[in-house]
Amino acid sequence: MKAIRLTRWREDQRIRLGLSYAGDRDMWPVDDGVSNVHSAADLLDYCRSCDVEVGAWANDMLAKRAIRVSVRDEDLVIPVDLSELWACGITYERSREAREEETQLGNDFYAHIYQAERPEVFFKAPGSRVVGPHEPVGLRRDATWHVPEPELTIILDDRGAVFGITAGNDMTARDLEAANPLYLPQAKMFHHSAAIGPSIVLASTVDISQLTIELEIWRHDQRVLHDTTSTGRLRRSVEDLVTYVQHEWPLAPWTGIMTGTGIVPPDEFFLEDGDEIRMTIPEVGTLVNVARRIDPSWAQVPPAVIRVLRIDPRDTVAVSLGELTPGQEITVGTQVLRVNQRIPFGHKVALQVMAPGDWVIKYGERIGIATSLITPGDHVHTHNVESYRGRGDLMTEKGVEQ
Amino acid sequence: MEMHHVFHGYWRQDGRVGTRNHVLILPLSPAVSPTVSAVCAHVPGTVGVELHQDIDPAVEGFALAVRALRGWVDHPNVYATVIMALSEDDPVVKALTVNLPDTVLYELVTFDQAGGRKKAEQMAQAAAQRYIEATQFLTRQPAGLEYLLLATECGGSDACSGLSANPSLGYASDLVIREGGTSILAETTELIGAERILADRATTEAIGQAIWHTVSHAERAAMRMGVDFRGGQPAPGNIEGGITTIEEKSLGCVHKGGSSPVMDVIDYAECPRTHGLVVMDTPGHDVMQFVGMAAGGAQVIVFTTGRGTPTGASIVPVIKVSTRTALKKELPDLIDFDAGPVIEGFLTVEEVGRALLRKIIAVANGELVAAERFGHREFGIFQGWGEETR
Repeated sequence: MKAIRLTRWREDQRIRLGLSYAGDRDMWPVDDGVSNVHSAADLLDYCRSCDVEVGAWANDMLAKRAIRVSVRDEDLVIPVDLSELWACGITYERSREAREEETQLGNDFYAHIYQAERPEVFFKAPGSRVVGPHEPVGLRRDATWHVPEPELTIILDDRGAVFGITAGNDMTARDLEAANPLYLPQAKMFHHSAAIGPSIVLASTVDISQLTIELEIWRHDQRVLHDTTSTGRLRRSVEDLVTYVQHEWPLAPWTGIMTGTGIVPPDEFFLEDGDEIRMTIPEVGTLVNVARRIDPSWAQVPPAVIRVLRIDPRDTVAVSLGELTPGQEITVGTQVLRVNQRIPFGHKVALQVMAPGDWVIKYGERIGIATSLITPGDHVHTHNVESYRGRGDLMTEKGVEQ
Repeated sequence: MEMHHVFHGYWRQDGRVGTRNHVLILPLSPAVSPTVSAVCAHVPGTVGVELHQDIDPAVEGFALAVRALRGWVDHPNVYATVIMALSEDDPVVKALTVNLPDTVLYELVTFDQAGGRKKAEQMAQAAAQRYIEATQFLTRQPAGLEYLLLATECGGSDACSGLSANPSLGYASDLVIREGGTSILAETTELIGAERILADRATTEAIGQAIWHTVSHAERAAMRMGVDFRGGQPAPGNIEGGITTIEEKSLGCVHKGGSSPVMDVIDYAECPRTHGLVVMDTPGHDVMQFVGMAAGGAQVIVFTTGRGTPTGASIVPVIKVSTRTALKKELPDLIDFDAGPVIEGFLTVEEVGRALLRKIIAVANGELVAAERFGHREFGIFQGWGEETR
């Protein structure tokens, strides 16, 4: 039997449901043909009431019904409303290698988990936070090394049986994961960190043992990454993964399970804001998402906190660990002050008034002399501070002081 | 909890332990350097350097240069050396070989004795091949950290150097010292403005005075070169990164010495006379520092950087530590270890310092660093601060 896809799209403020053979552009709108069927759950209920298997029924209907509608790619929406999404790690050898390379803290546990009977499974997101085709996927503001992980994703129905498969993007902040494996939840869970779609392939119409998974990343119309893998390299059986997820956790109806990645970009690769991520499983189609740095303009998140560090309590300046903009309010210890000029990453901000000739103190030591009046919130740098050491120009006048 | 780390190295007859088992091909004049390169190319497994300075008794810094060369020939990471020179009568040959301990394995090949360049090259190749074969019989054996001489250095400082990489290295250095090891803090020009911090930790008054004296000597020498230090120090790259003055740069740099007491102040390329933290008088030039600290017997060098550099030290592995994670992303094949998580607030200086100690031990055990993988072998000898003219 040819693989059959279940797809949803937006049309005139309405979400439509359709069936099609994999590869066909046009769909049979199920919701037109059968009343009260608007979702995967509805379809399954309908087939149960008729005592037919979903795949067989769909195949039958696609053969009988001639009506087809064409759907634009950009109108596609998430194919199923999940209640929960879980994910798995180190299920491919490539994934184990990449974790071992990136970690800074010894690596025995990755080798162990690859072999161990119990797989690594983790909660990825509540279903309401999973996004679909063409929605942005997030890049954390406090991480710099993100990669997409293209994964075969299993869709379980309300009774925990495999309803179908789709493509899933398990977005990951590798720098957090590398810093410490206990940061895994933060490396994996953030705004728009999970995407699935574009379609679900009905389980009975597809053999999932040898599916090709392809990842492409496009940046400024250039393909900057291309890799493929096969579910043939998946070390764990899907049944095994499902078993561990549900073992002590009665499944919520319509749970998704991402089965782990077999593609890890080379260590030097990291996603940038604006990158287009394309994941293809030929039977499922291509899931397209654009990476966006999480910010309040599109995500309901508080503005990023920039840490400003006073190294020693005696210091008259603090170091900014982010770019500060004029007018921005910052908190240094208990002191709240307003920034007067742009202060780049790593530069100093004045914490108190320094008159010309006053010492500037950092690390609890003298680092120079103020050459003009400095007020709290000012950028402190070469324009208003000078060195008092190594001054050959002062040597003739005063000699070198010790 | 008392920790006793162990590394696995090559025990030498003089009781020192190498982290590498190199056969070194060493030229004693620029004229024989191309021959050294040819020998290295023909005998896999050897390391060689090129010398671009004349080592001449008439040239300033002759004694320093000879001491540096001796330190390389008599180094725990070097199994044996093939020394190449034009003639046996070359004063540097005599100065170098006259008092070498019996435990040092070397063979001198001169163009004079061999009868020309081609024959010298063949003789050197044969000697190198014999040594390489002999190294196969040595195996790594455990040694405590009291046998480890760590050298520290920083280059391309940014505002994060004093917050992440240098304090983490300082913490790792303290851990090595706590287990009986030795650590060299160098780069005299980058101690200007930080003398008091070190002098306060000196174990005797004389050592405290030596710190003040050494730094002020270097400061005066540097000032003699130009009217004003500013413009050169901090370098434009440092300033762009947020460092305003040489004092600020120094205060960031001095963190890599940790908080251990200062046991001694030694001259360029001298071997430390004690365990613990030792200050070596070296210039700010990366390669000359590597060469001097290696000559002092360091078996592992840790180099913290806010800018990145591929430089290496041929016989001693140099671990590159980035101050920010972004740098490791930019230069993934040049950075061996990232101290950036301190800046991002994910890990503390102590956590990264402990991870860095593990990296140091892994490298001591034979793990290759970026500079070794790329075969870097820069070489240059510091020839002194120059005479005072007053």
